[in-house]
Amino acid sequence: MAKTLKETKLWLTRVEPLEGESISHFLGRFRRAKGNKFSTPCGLGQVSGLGAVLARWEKFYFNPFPTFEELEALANVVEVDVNRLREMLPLAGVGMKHKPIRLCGACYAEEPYHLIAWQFKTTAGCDRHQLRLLSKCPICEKPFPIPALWIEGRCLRCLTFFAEMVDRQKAY
Amino acid sequence: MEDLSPEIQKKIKDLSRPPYLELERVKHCHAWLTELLISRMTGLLVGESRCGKTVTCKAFTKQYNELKKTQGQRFKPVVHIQIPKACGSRDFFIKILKALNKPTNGTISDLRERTLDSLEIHQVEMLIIDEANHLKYETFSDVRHIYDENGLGIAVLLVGTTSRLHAIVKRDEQVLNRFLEQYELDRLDESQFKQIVQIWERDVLNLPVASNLATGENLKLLKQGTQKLIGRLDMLLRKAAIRSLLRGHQNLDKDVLKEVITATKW
Repeated sequence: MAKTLKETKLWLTRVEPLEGESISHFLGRFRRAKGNKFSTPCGLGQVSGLGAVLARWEKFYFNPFPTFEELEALANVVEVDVNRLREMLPLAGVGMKHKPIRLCGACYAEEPYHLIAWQFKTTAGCDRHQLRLLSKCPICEKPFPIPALWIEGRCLRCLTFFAEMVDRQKAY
Repeated sequence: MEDLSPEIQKKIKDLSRPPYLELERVKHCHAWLTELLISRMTGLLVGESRCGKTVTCKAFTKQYNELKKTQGQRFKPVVHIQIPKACGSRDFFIKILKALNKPTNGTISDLRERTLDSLEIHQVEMLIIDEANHLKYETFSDVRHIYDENGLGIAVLLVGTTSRLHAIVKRDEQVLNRFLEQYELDRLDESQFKQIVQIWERDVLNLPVASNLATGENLKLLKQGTQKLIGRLDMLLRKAAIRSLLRGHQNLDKDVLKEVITATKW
């Protein structure tokens, strides 16, 4: 798989991973990057040879857990180190909440992206801002979409910006 | 082949590849192409089938890209694509994306967006659309879009046989108004043809013994057989030369030439 890609040398646009960013958010950004344009995770799955598995990762379904070979296949396409990709996944032994998608509005106002740590079962709130995480839009109560679809950073129903939701977060 | 000497075997192998010679007419056409590229305009390159349009365009693409090549950069100033029969939007975008080493999967909207972005990212300055007469009528709107796209500013060249390309371009006034300038690669005149035959004998065939192709009956035969088209001339001469060598001749045999001309149906 890796060999084929090296031979074809696809000229995809590299996207720099952000500190603590979840794989779902990273993949969404990569797919939408100028010159890449994959409207579905399957498109990128096809190019990397991973097929539909990327759609599952974007929804935080990691069972079975991504293998080294799978991460290597993805790393070849996105041109990011395998270990760096591994950091976007839950730590060993840490349980994941794939639903609901959670968010700290205060963090998002500072750095607009989804942190993988927000989806850990052990995470109850934001340690940095001492606030409880939001599990749905505090205005219209619509659940947040998966981070791969966070384009404008706002609720898809009431259009409230995630950064503005900090006012509705309770103390932790 | 095994009976032939290694030198002859090598000669036959060399003759099986299309040659490229920097002829005056090619230089002239390349100067026009360079002007088109610099001015970021549109144009038509027309001429009869087998008059050397594709070879000229490919050589220009190679030369210009080599000239601007910077190691390690994904930079492709000239993109040359050859259009397949009845080419729709999807095939059109796929051809460009392949030329730019991009993925070619996804919806038509993915492909369109990926193509337009890629043309910008990889700093494409000129798009050469060869056999443009094979584009479907509706696909011309995508060609127009590429030329009109703000920020792209790339030159677009349509290449095709004179009558077919004119017929296609005239169908749509939007296309006609954008592709006003044209360059015609003519048939060779008498003296040019004789000169080219001499050049081919000397530089392309380069056989151990002279064949005197540019004189007397040989020249007459070639004129009739090729209708003074350079592409036909190249095919005929290389084929006849290979056959002559296989039969143990040291030059291009007149009988073999007659045989090849008779067997060729254009």
